[in-house]
Amino acid sequence: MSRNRTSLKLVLLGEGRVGKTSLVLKYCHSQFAEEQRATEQAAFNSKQVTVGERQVELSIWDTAGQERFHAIQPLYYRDADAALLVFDLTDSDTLERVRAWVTELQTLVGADVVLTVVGNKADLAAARAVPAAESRGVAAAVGAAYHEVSALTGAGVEAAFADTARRALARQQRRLAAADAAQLSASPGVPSWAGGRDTVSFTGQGPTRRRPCC
Amino acid sequence: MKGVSRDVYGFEVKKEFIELYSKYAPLWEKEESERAKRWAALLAGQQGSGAQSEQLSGDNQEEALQRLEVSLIRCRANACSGNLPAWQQQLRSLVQAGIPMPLRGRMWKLLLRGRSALRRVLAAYSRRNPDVGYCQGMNFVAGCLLLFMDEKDAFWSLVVLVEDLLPGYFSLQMLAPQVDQLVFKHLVEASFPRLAAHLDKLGAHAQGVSTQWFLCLFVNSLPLETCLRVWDVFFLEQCASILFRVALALVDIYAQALLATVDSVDAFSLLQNMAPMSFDSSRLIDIACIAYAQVDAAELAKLRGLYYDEVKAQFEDRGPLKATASGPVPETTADEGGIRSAEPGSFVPADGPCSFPVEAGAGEDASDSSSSAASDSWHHAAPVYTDMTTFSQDTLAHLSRLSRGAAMADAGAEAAAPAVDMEACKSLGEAGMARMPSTRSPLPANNDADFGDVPSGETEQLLTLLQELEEEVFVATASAEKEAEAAEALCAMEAGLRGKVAALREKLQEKRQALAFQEKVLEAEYCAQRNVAPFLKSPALRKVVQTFTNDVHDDFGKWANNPLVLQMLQQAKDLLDSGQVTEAEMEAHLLGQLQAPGSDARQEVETKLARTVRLATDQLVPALNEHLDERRKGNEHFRAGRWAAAMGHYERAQGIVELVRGASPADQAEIDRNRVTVALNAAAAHLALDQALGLLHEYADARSDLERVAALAPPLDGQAQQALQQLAELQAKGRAQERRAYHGMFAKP
Repeated sequence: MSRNRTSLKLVLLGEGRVGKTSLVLKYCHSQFAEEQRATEQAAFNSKQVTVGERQVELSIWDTAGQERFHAIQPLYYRDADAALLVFDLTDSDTLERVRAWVTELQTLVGADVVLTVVGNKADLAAARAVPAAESRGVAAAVGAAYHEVSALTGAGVEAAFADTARRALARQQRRLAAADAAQLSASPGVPSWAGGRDTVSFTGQGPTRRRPCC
Repeated sequence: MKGVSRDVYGFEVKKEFIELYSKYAPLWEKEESERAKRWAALLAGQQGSGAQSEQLSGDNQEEALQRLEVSLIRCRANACSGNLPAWQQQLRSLVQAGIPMPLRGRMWKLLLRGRSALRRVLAAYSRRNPDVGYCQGMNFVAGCLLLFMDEKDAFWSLVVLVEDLLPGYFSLQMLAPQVDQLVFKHLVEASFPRLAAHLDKLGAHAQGVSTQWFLCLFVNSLPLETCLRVWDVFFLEQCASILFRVALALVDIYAQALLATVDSVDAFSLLQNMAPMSFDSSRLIDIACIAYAQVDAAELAKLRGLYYDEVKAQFEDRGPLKATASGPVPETTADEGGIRSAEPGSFVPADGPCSFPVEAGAGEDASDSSSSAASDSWHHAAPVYTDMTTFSQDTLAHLSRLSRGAAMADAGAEAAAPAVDMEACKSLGEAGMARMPSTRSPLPANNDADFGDVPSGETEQLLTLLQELEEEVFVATASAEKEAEAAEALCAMEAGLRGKVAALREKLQEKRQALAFQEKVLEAEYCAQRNVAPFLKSPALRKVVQTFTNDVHDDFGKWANNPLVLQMLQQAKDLLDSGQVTEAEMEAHLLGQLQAPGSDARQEVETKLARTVRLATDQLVPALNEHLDERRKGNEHFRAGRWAAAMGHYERAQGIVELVRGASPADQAEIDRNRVTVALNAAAAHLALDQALGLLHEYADARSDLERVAALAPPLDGQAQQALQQLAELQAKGRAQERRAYHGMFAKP
């Protein structure tokens, strides 16, 4: 497997009008549109980033927030490495939807999917309806990182994506390691030598001691 | 903004496409004038007056259009008349070459007209189901209609589009788009096997973008000029198959480029961009209508039928997104609720006027109805969006007034001449039905069909239960219709009943697995059967034996005849028989071992089971050698910096030493030494892996390795303790770094 060009798939989920598309546009193209129109279905964006010393290509899927589109979303998040669960800091209902998404994601993608809860519209401080403690609590409860951002000013956007990419990369490495391990042990649970004589590499020597390499 | 180029419709041309656009704009103009001539000739012929002047006067044109409409209606009604098929052919080729802009709106109106009776019914139905509401994507469709017709006409065109031409597309369940995703996948695989394999290898898929194309009828994806040409044909054919043909043509045109992509990012970018780049509208339509002519209404209906059940079953498995306590509260009232009983036992899903294949199948089995009813009632709480920011608020307000009032007004106005209309529409309706053969085809396969292999007693019992449940639901529904307060109770009841059905299904599933297992054991050779027989009495151990059937080579005997395995089983059985361990404990241990590697339960089981593999020295040596081999391989990888690979070897090496027990204290001491060593190695690898990735605070794995060492070998724990201390320091440093990095970013809670 080529490890030179690593690619990670991120998906943005959340209630409609919380600012998923604006976040992606800000992050990928440094743009912000006052009247961003509603996303129908999903849109694909990509961005090259450096995580540690590694070049990573992020595939970012921006999805439609309207509830009924939930039915066709799995196409986009089924093989996602990470999900950004976006909510609107000025609308506490949108935070509730985040919880529902987590359950859904962990069922379909696996419990170890990397999650980031993102509170958007931090610039609207006066209209703020969700205290940081509450949203951080929700994030902590689902094992997600928490970031507050503003797609308008761009504050925190870079950090939220970078942090997610970093953790998603770590997860991918862990999975690769696990895959390596699984490949090595043909029958999980019982080592091959327990299965019968023919699989034992009997060298006839007694066990020799080695220093660990560290 | 300055310097924005706009097309003739006033839409912005993206700067990356300006060059392409300016290349094609004159071409379009030329085509448009040719088109205008051809159509003028057609209309002149329609007028039948023999006036061959190419430019008809306004009045004459109006008259010609009216005649055209009559021909069209006769044509649709298949009324026999000598030269109609030839005329139809002519019209088809003209439409395929594009409708001239001045005529487009009127032609669309003509092409969509004659459905008023059907429309009245549909409008009435949509008024009864306001929860179909607004779906993101519909704004583009409606907006495009409004470019060419007044609001009333646009509204009715939208009704036809949403409810008739694309049934189920904008519904709450959105089953139709899901089905069409699979249909399109199927078509791409059939038409471009090499490309499909290539995309699959990259982890990309064309259906990722096709759903968007279909949902918006290519508005927003194709350049508008091209898009309108698709609409021309779409309205003529009144079947979604043209959308598939255009989508296939897009893939066709860009097939070579797609094959040249090297990763999913490239592939998705191209897939997403190929529609906006398709300025050559005539080429696209020609390829679509000629090269993919075989994808017609019948083919589409067949393919949709093929995938419908799959999608439906998936939908029910997954269910709706779970509503949270403070989330949307399902409300089921008599007027808007998800279920409406036509007659006892047959529920009509409140999913809009769907003539999408088999979706509206009345008389689905009971569990099916109750679950779809429950999900509908949940979905009912979905917010209805009105954020059609692309269009002015006035238009919106006007549209919503129309949607409320127009149905009644229109019904009243048209009631004056119902006889003519009804006649035309009856035949139209039949023509529509003929395009969707599956509405006539047998009902969807009974969902309980998959219980066929369960003993009939079980099935009967289940069916009786389901019937009871159905009756309960029905009674509940009836009462809910009388009293709005009962609606909430009904919801809870439905959820309860759904749970019951789910539990029953689960039980049956277990039963079936047990039967399959029984069969497997009976198939096995005699001595394997005899070997495992004593362990089948214990449920926990039976599960272990059951895992033998998972052998990759389907070799049950390999495990059932293995003395080591039998020895382990026997000792586990002895533990159980002697009462040291209860059934539940054993099962919990086994389950824990399976589910959570590294958990306490697993370690405990490992310790317990480890005693069961006490090996004599001559058996122990090869095992330890294998362990050593693994560890050496791991060390090589470690030195080369391949920590992940090293980890794999270490874990395997650990697996061996954690499983064996020495027969003598000397043997055991050797094993323990190896256990400590390999655990330290593993910890080092974990640490290196985490550090390499910059995971400053994720040392959990390394930590648990070291703690295990410390616990397991007190005399040898000096090294482990030291490492743990270092780890703690690293961790503290990492946390401090992180605190600095994020300092001041968050408001203090």
